[in-house]
Amino acid sequence: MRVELAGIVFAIEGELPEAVAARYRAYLTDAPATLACRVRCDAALQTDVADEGIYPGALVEAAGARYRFFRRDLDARIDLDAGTLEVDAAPGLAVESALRIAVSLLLPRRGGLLLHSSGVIEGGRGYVFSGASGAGKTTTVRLLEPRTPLGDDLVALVPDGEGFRALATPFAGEYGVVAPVSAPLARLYFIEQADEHARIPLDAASARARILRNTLSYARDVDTIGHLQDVADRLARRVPCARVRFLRDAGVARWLD
Amino acid sequence: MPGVSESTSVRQNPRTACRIYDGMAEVITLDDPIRQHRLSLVATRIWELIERGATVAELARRIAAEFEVDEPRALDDARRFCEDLVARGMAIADPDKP
Repeated sequence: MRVELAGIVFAIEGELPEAVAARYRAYLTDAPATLACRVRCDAALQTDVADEGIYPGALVEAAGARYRFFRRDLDARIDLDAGTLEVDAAPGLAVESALRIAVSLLLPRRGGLLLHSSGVIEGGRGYVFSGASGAGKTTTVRLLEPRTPLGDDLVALVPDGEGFRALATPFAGEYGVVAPVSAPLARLYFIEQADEHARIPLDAASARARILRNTLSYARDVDTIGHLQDVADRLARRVPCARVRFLRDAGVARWLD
Repeated sequence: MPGVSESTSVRQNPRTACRIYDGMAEVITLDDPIRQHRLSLVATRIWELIERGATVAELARRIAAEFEVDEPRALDDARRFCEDLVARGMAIADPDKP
């Protein structure tokens, strides 16, 4: 099967757990593959601890453009130059972590990044709300219903002419997987829940720092980090960025301007 | 950690990525913990000067000349700044040359 995630086409061979396949059904494509991906489910990697017990144990090894991620339920090897991804994963959603990691490493080379954010489309324009866990990403999407959602956890931002485009991904939080929609990125907001609605514009340096802080990145090589810095700088200079303080009410829609 | 003296040679840690925006460097250290650092104008100049390595005394002479500060003060500032760079993993201090 082939799936398109943030503009990257994964040709997946092997057994994709049904839980993952179901999430990606809307992202199937016939486009030429960018990355050859082999998946093998390995019950021996199965673990009886909760996710929060697994993630801190993740080991990242990088040798130039070759990466290995290892944790109790996952062993993934990515060669960014060769365009290959080999995954041994416990049955279940573990394999999705490998796909997410691969996207996060490949996007900067293509001038994009994967941002911890939610977003919606209003009037054909994309509005993205970035924040750490608990900042209100899912809340903003819910408050802005019934507008078309771009996701509530990880939105991809990729170059689009002189600007950027926001792309939905299947990497979802509690809102669930959204349709594979996209829109030109009109504004990038860094959200914080507050007792008022307020918007504070950010200068390029502040925006750049926030973008990098909120980017999903496992990069450990100088080239990829350098690409990420370049993408963050282009975003900060080409897209209006601001802090948004918001109340948990529909008034947040005032910032879709 | 050994101290940094005026004869210590300091160079950029190759495990850093750097871009310069509006004359000021933004440096990311790649080893855990990954951190962003934004340098001032003078700090950026020192960062450039240690790309291939320089002693603290050499740095102080250049900074004194370029930024019109007296050399003892430049030496003290450069030594402390280089100590900070090394402590943050942004630079590597080579053993003092005799």
